[in-house]
Amino acid sequence: MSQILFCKSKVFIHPTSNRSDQLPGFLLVIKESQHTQTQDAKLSWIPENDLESSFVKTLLNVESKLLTAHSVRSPHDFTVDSIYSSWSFTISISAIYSIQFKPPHPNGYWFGSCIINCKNGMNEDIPVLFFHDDICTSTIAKRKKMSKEFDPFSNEGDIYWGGDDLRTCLQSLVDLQKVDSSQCIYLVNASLDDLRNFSLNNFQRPQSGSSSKDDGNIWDSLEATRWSIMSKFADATTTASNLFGKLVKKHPIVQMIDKHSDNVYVKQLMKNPRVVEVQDEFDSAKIYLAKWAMGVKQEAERYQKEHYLDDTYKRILRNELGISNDVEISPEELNIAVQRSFPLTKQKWDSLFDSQGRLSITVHEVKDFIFHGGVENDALRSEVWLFLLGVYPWDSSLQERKELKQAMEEDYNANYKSKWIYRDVLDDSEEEEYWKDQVFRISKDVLRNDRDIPLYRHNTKDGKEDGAKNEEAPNKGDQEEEWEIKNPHLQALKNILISYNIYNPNLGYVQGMTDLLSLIYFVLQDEALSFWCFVNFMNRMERNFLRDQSGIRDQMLTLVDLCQFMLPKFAEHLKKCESADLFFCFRMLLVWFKREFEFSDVCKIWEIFWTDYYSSQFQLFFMLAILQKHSDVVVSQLTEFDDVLKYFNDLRNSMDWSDIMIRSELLFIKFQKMIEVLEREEELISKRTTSTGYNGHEIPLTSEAEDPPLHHPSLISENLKELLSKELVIQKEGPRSKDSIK
Amino acid sequence: MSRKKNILKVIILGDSGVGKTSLMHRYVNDKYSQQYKATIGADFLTKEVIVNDDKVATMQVWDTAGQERFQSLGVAFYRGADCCVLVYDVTNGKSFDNVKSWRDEFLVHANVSSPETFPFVILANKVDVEESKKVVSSRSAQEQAKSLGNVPLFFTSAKDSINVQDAFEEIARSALQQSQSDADAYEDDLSEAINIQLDGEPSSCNC
Ligand SMILES: Nc1nc2c(ncn2[C@@H]2O[C@H](COP(=O)(O)OP(=O)(O)OP(=O)(O)O)[C@@H](O)[C@H]2O)c(=O)[nH]1
Ligand SMILES: [Mg+2]
Repeated sequence: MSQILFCKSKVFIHPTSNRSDQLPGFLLVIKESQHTQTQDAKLSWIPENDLESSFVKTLLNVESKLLTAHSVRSPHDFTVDSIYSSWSFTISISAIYSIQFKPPHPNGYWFGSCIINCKNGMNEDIPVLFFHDDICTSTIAKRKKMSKEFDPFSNEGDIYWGGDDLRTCLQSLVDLQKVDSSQCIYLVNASLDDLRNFSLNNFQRPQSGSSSKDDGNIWDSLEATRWSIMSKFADATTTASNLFGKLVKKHPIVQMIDKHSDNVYVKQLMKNPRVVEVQDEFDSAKIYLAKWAMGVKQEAERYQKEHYLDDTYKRILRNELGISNDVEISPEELNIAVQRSFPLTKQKWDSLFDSQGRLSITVHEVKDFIFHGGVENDALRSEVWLFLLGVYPWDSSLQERKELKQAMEEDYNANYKSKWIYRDVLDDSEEEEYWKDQVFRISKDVLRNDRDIPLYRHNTKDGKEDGAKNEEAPNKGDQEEEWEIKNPHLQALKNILISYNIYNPNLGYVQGMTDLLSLIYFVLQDEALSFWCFVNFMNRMERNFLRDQSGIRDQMLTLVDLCQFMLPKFAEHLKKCESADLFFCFRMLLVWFKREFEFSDVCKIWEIFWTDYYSSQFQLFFMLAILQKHSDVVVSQLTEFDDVLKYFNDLRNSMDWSDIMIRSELLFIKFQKMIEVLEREEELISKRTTSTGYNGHEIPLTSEAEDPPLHHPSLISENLKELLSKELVIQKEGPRSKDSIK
Repeated sequence: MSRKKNILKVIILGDSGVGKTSLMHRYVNDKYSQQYKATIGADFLTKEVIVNDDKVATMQVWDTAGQERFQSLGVAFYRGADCCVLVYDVTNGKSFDNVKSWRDEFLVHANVSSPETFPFVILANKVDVEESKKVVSSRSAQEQAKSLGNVPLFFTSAKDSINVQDAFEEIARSALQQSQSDADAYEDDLSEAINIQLDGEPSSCNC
């Protein structure tokens, strides 16, 4: 039984410019059955004239039902393919390449329209669709309803029209990304390359023009966006004669806008019947104001995201890290790093898998999405992370994953969790002591872990606030609570960490591991799956926790080399501050910046690191970017070891992770190029020297060889070379003995 | 390592979870929270102190991670210390037993001029808990303090703010004395050892 997901009447095609030729019809989105993938839904347009009048009625009925329902079962005798006329068409929505949504003119000079382009170039078959909103029952009804709910503006601050409904419907089925703000062009399930190409052309502002004018750009366009929202709002209220209208008018911003009411744009809007209608129908100015303020805020936030694409920001980056040591970051590289506005959406993710649930693009492409746009939300994260952390193989099918999941659950319970839940007291008293100590440490740290996060906040059986009890027994009661873990999520953390102790007895529990687990569990909220994710994450992170600290020390030494290589002036200054060992980076490296950023930001940072897109040790470039960003201040202001440490310790919660990530990528690219240049030089030198020393005698120092090369080849330590590798660096703890350090 | 002479540097050591971070925050900010996370790496807070009723100095209190393996990287800032605070938890016998090894460890790495006279202070923390939970008697605590060279001992609670101020006053006194004798040893100007400041807000930190 097929389902209708979208139905709109009075969608016209205009075969000629002659009004009498215009054909009204129904635009529909239909899914064959509940079991077909959303990607396979079809978009159809049928002229009204081709339909029996009873059928028109049925469709109108469906249309009005869809105002409240998500989908409606299609009438029995209805299949689109059976209806044929010269203008009707049906396409699979995943065959659409792009859609341009052109909103109607505010004063009704033209209709809103949709231009659809298909992937395989069958464009001619699809006519432009015009939405005659003024006679479409569902659009009229919806507009009324929206006006009543005080939200006459749809998301972009524009006035609602029929095309918005189509867009909303499609957005729930496929990944729809806006790539051009002025033309309102959206791409369907687009590749990252297409998204980049489209938006680069679009966002690249004219490069010419005086630089001083350029600097004003950000503010000009921010003002413009704000202005358009404000003026629409002001307009809706200036003509209000009721009490609420007056109340709104007292708002300082509104008063400010009132002063500008001779603005042409405002004047034009005031005449717009729709704005008048909206204003007539709302009756609580307060809520309206709040919504409006929210809209401005969101607009500003959206703007902030987009401002990364602005020339000013790019120029700053170019100046700070662009050109030096014979290498240059190209405009494309700069653009790719800066362009982070296409997150991996649920719809996009689904579109990447075939009917068996097997990935149908390369892993590299998926990682490109994640590296440059991140995962849209935590719900999707809980799926994607299983792949990123290697719990699910990238090439597995849905069925295989189902089986795997079940097997892993059983494995966890039978072979790890029950091993300690039903364990006997050990004969070896020292071993018994050790075990108890491990459990004690785990409990203590779990209780101190991320208690500011709602999931972990309340130590009660259901994890909810225990209001009544708190008031009754403020003192005696909570002493018990202090030591005992009751919150089920904290309990799960503890279970996983103790089970990990069984899994990896050599390493056991080390402080910092709770931090690593906390985030994974927060996203997955499934004990067994979190365990396996944690196991795989620890495979990579074990080197940070070794008894002799060799793994973390290696990373700090590599960082010292990297800093020396990329930021020589800063490195020089750190020597003067007795901070050359970069000890102040220890915390950031140990738990991957978990303590420096907000929980939600850490999710975004880690999933990027997990891609190993450029390097399996990208965390070192992120660290380098933090150093780079602050190097000027440190060099000019700080001279002592303790000041430097304090400065970096106090950066927590004050950094823009996205800016740091952009810098990390650019620093990596620059690093890679510098290594290439040096290696080429080294090769040249070695060629020269081997040709002179051909017959195995000691190579005489020719005057040529004495000339120091531009860069000294020894600058490229093995540590640095390793940074170009995507292979994980694995360092494992050795066996534990009785007197091993804890 | 060179050090700024006008600062009294105090290092807090002890097993993980004995309450080092809590004590530092109680002393510097007079705050207590269940939410301090396990310390990673090292951090410090500073506070202006008045010692012996007339001398104003800046005390820099260093807090470190308790897990032993992290010490090997963290010894750099032991150097230049003026006083070392050893903390144990009265509900945790092991943490009490480890007090001596924390002291020894410190002396090995801190490179102090005369280990015999270097000032330590022992804090027996969490005395607020109910008696049944306490496993270290005050008698054995006193014996240990004595055996380590008559080290001053305080029974504290960061949670209920018991004895914390008193303990840190003693710590400040010993630190100042140590700093002065060090300065004497280097034939430095005595007055430089104290940073004369009449007012000043203690710096804060939300870790
Ligand atoms: N009852 C009680 N609990 C305390 C007291 N001081 C600290 N705690 C608790 O003991 C636990 C550990 O305290 P922290 O101050 O984080 O311990 P720490 O010594 O800094 O631990 P590490 O950073 O791991 O070395 C926390 O849950 C505190 O709430 C105290 O005076 N009384
Ligand atoms: Mg601590």
